[in-house]
Amino acid sequence: MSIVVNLNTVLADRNLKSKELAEMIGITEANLSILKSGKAKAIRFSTLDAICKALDCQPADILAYEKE
Amino acid sequence: MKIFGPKSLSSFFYYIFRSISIVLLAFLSYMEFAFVTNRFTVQDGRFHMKIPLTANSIDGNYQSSDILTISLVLIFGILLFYLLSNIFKALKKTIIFNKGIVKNLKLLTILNLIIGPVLYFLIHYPIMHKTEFRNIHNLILLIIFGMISLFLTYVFQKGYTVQSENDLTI
Repeated sequence: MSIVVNLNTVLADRNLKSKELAEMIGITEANLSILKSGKAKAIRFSTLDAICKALDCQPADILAYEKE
Repeated sequence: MKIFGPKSLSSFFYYIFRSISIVLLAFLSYMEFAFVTNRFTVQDGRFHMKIPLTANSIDGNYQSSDILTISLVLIFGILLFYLLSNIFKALKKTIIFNKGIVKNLKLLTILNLIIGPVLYFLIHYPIMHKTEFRNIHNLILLIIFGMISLFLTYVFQKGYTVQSENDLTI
């Protein structure tokens, strides 16, 4: 897919671990891993909202479009 | 009563159809074993074979064509009930749109739309040497059953895709 998830970069900038973020936004580590690996088919606005709130960032910081 | 999932009507049908396929397999095995070991009587050109533990018997013309026809029909029946039991086994799961049901419905479609009619014509002409076209309702039923199965395959295929997308929506 051409949509890239840059969650790892944002997490590294904030010195946060995946486990901590998963707990903060209320999703399982497995689901967060699916999202980070780019295997997810879609992302709910509620999840995006929770991630942006937890990481104090914009959706564009997490998601990017790259031409294939 | 629940239709899908564990302890449901699907579960009940799974056991029923799986039992029928096992009984048919045992019946076919016994029949072939009896023919090989001469455990039958022949009278006026007809064979008579007692079914163990029951008061019933198998009778038919003592000709290779009749025996082959019975065997082929039984094999078809075993496959049909086995696939039906597999479909209901897949419907026993909590998530009914799964790979198992799509695979088994595809096989059921092939069995009814290809193998069934081929077997019908094979039995009718080369094996039984019939000149007139009889028992066409069997063929029509096979095709109707096959068409329903074909549409169900695509419905469940679509359902499986939607289910996968839903599962991968975070």
